[in-house]
Amino acid sequence: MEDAQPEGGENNRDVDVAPALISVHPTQDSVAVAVGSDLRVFDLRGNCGITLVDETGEAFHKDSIRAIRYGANGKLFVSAGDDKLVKIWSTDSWRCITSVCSEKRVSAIAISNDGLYVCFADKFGVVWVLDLHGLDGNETLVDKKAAPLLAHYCSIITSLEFSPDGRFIVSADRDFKIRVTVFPKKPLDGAHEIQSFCLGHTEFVSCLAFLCTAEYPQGFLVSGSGDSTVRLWDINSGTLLDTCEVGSQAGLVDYSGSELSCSTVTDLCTIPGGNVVAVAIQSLQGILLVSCDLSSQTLGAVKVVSNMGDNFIPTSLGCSSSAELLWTITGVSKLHGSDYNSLARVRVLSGFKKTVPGTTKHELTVLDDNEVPGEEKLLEKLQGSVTVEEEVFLAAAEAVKKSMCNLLIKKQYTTERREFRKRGRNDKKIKQ
Amino acid sequence: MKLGFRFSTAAQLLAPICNNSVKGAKGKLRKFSDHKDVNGRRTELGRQPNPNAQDISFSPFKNCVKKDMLENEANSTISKSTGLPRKRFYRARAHSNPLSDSHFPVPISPNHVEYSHHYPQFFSSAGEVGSIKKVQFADIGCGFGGLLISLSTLFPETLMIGMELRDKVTEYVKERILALRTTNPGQYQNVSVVRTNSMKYIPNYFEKGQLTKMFFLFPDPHFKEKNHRRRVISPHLLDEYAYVLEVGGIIYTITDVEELGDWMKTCLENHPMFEALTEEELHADPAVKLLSTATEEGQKVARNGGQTFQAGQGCDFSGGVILAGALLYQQASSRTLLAMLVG
Repeated sequence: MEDAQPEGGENNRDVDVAPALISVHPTQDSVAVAVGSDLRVFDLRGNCGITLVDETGEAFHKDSIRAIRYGANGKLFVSAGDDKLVKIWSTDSWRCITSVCSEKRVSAIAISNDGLYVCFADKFGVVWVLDLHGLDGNETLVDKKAAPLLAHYCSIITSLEFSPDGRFIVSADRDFKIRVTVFPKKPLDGAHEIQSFCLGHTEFVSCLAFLCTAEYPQGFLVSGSGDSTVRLWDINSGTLLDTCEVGSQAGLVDYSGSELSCSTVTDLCTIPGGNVVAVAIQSLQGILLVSCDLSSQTLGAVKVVSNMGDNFIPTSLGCSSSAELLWTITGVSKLHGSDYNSLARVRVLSGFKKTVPGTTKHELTVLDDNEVPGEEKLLEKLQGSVTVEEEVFLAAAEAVKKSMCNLLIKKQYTTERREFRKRGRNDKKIKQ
Repeated sequence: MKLGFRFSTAAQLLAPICNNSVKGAKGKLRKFSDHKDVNGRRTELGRQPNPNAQDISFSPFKNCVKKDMLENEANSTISKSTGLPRKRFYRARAHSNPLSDSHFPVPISPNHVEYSHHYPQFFSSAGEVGSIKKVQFADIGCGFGGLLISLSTLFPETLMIGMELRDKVTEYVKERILALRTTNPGQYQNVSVVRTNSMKYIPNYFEKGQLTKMFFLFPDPHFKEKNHRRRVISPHLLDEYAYVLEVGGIIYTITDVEELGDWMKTCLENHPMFEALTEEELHADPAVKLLSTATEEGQKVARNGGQTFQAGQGCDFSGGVILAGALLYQQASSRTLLAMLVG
């Protein structure tokens, strides 16, 4: 039977893995890592691992975590994922303040700059808002209900961001769209006024970040996508300002054109107040640095940092505003056909500065494991073990890549296959 | 027997007839249950499909016309008397899933839409830069294009576009417009049609505030609650419509399904960016008159309406059952008409 060979994506649960994620406290008080359903937090101030306390009834996460994030003021931390639970943690006590059920799996989260609203997006394209007024951080809130804020029509939302001035909420989806919506005074009534659509990507948009400096407090939006570009936008008008072909800049050009997702941008990281973007790319062993000239509104690739170790392809990036450290992680929630249940490897780079004075002088050094803040204790907490064998990295990167493609790239069927499937349809019998 | 039943009970009434195992009735039943599965509105139910027509339109040869047959084939799809394409060669399923992944090309942004292909005369005569006209009317789910054709002569200087998800129907409208352009030189240059999923890709075609009128005529009712998100008027989609409409732009909706009418009314009334037009404005608007008369769907409602009414008197019950199912809504509702104003 023809049906015995699925053309990818039909045995979804098997290849469905989640990449490891990392997030850093705005003033580097702590650092959090999510691998699969496991949430690991290390307290950098106290130099010790943190035990999370969850008394909201449903203990911890039961399925892969897809998004983690600290609030801008560092008081809140939110985690959410495939188990349809959105958990809000206080970063003082690391207790779970509230746990909200989503109707669908959660794919992205954002916290408003004043820390009063948490927004999360589900896989059906609806963004929900959660009102946190009257939250003092210690008591456990119950019966919180999320209200629908806006919706992309049945498209997976891949990233959510608030603009630096808090006026807009920006959402990106797999249908190549970035939508800029005015964040209303009363978000619970929904956000109806669309400021602009940023259109120009030719594949799914995978990540968003804002660049803003003292001269440009409104900030510019940068987005990464499956079309292997990073683009710069003016969100007021939705104008595309510049495009950086990161795939070719990083030396990953695929002339064949067959491997579409070869240089998908997986994550972007910017420093508040800076004009440098760290870019993680699928299949790039290392990090690409892109600088942005905000006066002329152009993007330029600066350099590739590749001495991070063999086969180290970061899946997530994080940094804080205070220290000049760039935190990177590679890993996967589960790895089929290997001894490892899950895998995570953290590497830290120093010299991630706000500006690039002379582009050639930009020094980003990879810290050895004993130079990392917290040293072995930190690595043991976040990675699960101090040493991780590097052989499995490639397999992990491959699994993450496959899973992402399945999720975000439209499936292509041949004409014959489409006709074959139509044969089963009641109303369209093809006479033999 | 009283006729005060809903669509689903009409199916039950049909069952005893079919139990007689009359061949024709069996055929009807199958047709009917197919229709129920897709949960949409009635379309061709009233008419017995011409089996030959179906064969031709579904046969694989349709799209790859053989060279030597080209003359005959090409001519046969066009009516000799009117020069217009014949609808029976463009039969399509009544519904298309708006949630599915699309496999047709979508413009990256409004700047990438080649409007000069759609309106060659407007763009060739415009010539100089700066005088380029933009599309101002959009007929969402234009079907066979009846409204567009009527609007075209009513607003000859306004560019308008129909958007339709079913490719065969789009093809028909395209042929119809081209035929009308040849038979009426100088006319119908301002209408065109695209095949797209307007629920997903409206911002890919229009800029902010570009449109002055949007038409949603006789949309799919999608009765089941689980399918409400497929309705073309919904609270979240109205955000996008408000984005492409200019301030003061108008949304026109019409339906013969009371339930959907109430839904659309509620959606529009509760949306902060829309407000209702006054009665006077409604009467003054020349487009409003076209809503119920110009579209094929509207004509069908009117046509069937007459027939049912007679069937409702109890004369020809068995023959009228399918028709009655189709138009009880029409009877029940007072043809909900909403015209809303962006404010």
